[in-house]
Amino acid sequence: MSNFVTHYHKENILKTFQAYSSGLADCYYRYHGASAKVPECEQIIGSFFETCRVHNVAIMDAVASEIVRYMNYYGVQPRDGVDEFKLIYFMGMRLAAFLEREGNVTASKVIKYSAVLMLDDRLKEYTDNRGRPELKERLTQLIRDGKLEEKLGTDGLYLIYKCSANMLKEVAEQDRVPLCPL
Amino acid sequence: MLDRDLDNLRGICKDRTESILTHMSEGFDSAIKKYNDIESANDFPGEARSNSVDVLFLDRVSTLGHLASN
Repeated sequence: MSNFVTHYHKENILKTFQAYSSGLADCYYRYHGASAKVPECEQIIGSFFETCRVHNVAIMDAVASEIVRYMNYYGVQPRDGVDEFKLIYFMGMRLAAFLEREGNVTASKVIKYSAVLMLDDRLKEYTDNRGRPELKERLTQLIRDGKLEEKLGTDGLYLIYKCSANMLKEVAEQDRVPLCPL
Repeated sequence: MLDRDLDNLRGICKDRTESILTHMSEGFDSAIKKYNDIESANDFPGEARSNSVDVLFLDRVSTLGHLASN
């Protein structure tokens, strides 16, 4: 029997949160480009931290619940801990959901965009530091249109990046090890 | 938005992150407690397929700044 909390690695889940919160201004700026405005960014920062302050327990509960739901549904049992893709994805989507529920749709989109940036960055290890720019652009368009969940459901975005990483990792390992060693 | 505006906003995010981390840490402890109290939640069905903690990104950066500037 595995103890639930041992799979969580509190330090990693807080690092994930920190990546979203400390990068908020940069992501807002990149998401909006030339139309970025200081007052709007200040408003987003304010609403983000206020939402986190008020709903800190509920947010962490939602992140944990979603990861458990995913693991139970797909029959995944992490032996040593929850992988980074899940932490990035489920933390981002739950933060975005709470912001949207509070009426902060733009902040919610910026957080989803942050998730895509982080997941794409995670692929750079296997793609000569390039990531997948075209995929990132298409996902960003879905976020701008408010269609991310409609098109990809609850787990689609995570599965795209996780499966891509696994495939690229396997290809890299096959390149290193001959299939029929003499 | 000017570079110095962005620098100021980054500073606000950094300061507010530092001040809210304790709060989020306490939130995590409260949220996770219920799972340890529920026996059934401690069982994961299915076979073990993921066998390592992969935190390359989190080990490398603590902010998204470098991503947004690329």
